[in-house]
Amino acid sequence: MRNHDLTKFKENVLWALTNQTLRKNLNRAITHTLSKRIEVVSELTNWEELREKAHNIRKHTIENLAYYLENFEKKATENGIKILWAKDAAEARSYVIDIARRINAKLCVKSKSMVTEEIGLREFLEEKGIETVETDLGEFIVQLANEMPSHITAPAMHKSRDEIGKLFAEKLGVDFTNEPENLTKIARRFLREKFLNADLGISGANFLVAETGSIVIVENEGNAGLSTTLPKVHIVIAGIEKVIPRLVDLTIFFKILGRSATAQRFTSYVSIINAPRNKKPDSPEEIYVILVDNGRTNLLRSEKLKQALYCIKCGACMLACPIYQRVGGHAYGSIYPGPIGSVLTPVQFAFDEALILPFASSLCGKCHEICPVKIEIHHLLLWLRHKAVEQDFSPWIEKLIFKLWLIGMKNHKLYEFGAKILRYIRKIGIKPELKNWSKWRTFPEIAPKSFREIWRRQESK
Amino acid sequence: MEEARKQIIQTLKTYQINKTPLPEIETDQTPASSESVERFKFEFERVGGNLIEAKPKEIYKKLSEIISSENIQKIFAENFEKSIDEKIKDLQVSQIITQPHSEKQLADVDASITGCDFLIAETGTIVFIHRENKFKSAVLLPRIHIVIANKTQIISTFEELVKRIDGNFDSIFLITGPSRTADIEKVLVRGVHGPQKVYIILT
Repeated sequence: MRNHDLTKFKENVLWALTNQTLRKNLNRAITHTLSKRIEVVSELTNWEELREKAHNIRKHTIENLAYYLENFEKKATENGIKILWAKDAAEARSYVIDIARRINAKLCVKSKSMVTEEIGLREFLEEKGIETVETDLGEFIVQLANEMPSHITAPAMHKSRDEIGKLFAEKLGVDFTNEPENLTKIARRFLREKFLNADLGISGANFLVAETGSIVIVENEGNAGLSTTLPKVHIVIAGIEKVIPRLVDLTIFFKILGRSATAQRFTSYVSIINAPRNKKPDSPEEIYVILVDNGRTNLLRSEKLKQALYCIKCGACMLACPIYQRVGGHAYGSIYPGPIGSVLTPVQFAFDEALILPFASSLCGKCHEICPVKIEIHHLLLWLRHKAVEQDFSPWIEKLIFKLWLIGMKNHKLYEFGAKILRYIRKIGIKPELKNWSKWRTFPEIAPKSFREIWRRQESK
Repeated sequence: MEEARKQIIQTLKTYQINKTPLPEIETDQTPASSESVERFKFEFERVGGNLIEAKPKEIYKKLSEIISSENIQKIFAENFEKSIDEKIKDLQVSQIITQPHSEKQLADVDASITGCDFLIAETGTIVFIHRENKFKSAVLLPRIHIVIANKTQIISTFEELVKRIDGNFDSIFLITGPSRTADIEKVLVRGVHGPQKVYIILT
């Protein structure tokens, strides 16, 4: 089921809506995280102030992205880290394979990273004969199932313990168990071997600090700590928007990121990496940072859409979205699902077929309300809809209805006449054939008299 | 590569506007106090850590208790000051490693005993600044991690840490409780890839 087709969005949605297990799994995971989130957010009296600060730090950084990236590059290079720049996915992949071949890598351990999903790195390395293992438990599960992550921080939230138990039994040849504790033990044992024998470690980065040249990775399991410590070469793949100006900015981001992503006060592990091994006994001898554009500059070009680059990829907007809550991440058919994904997918990757995604929103603004860096996601979605309509996106029947509506709204006599006809049609018992509407809900009854008619009658009395 | 760099930087510069000022971050200047000690204990236990308070001369006793209750056979111990090192040597275990020849050997021990650089009260976090002779994997690979720390190492906030280190470090590792996951039906499981239990013996 990997790579849902973007053009099959409607089919995906119908499939998701009728899948009872999926609905149950989603509901459990989302309710759990959101209710815990309320607790850890409401105990901070200055949450709004933190959001505002985070927003302004991100805004300032994106406005001065070239400056901070050059600073990061300079500082990190001084510290002994090698920086590479990649325009697109192909270029990023080619750097990785060049490094892997030079060190004759056979086994690569990966920690969770959305950019590597974007550039299809795991599949690419496997094709080139380098065994590549996802080490985050959720990612490991979706790798075994050959699926895409359904949420950016909880990749396997669409799966039940029974489904995972069956998957482990089938793919790892172990006895069936559906106990989360036992399943975790199985994964630990299997992945331990991989960690100890890997030649190459690949990770993403949550932040790159310009001031100190640091790579910052937050996580809970310890897999990122091991992937970036044990192998002799560590490659970091990061989007160019990941940079932040100062080390002290982390104080703000640490407070909002854990709470937004997993409803935690602080994640279990944070690695702040400044330099390769030097005199330390067990760090990588070489560290590379690949700075990836891959369509991010498309967002920057638009004054309106630029703010999508403030995103710190916490995934809170997905959990809060009434559409995502019902269909889950796979229905979107994109690497980044949910509200922010519906902005990124059509613009960052320039996928015209993804212009349907901004319509998968109720525009209720929940995504904006929960966003820790205050991105106006619902405005961006509305704006993208506007763009889509300009590009002749809507079907002829919708265009016709809006044309008639426009004529009616400009002339109230015509409007009343039209309304009368509609009521008459309904009165003589002709039901409108609007299946897409009436299949899922009751068609609203039309009032026997319009408000204006009643008003006029009252006046004349 | 050079071409990609040039192209990206050039595009970014075209859209550089410098309109929004960078917000100031007020650093919390509250020095650590007895309240910070209480706060640290509360936060560390809330994330699932095991805190044991002890007088310096009780360290050996407390270590022995953990070792027998957790059924620990092999340990890795970092270099401490002489008085602690000598006590560690006397622990009733089958093997004590102080100079591992490989990470594989570290993966084979049941528990590691290490020091730390700071303890952050606000979040219950243990701070390791890695340098010569300090194994980062030693705090991640074994099933149990025991930290011997002193109350004077407690600082109030992460801001305080940033101020103290002043950008001068090779690598920092922050640990807040045991390794954990909730990837399967949101059920909390401890000890995924890192330790299942983290002890602090606080003197």
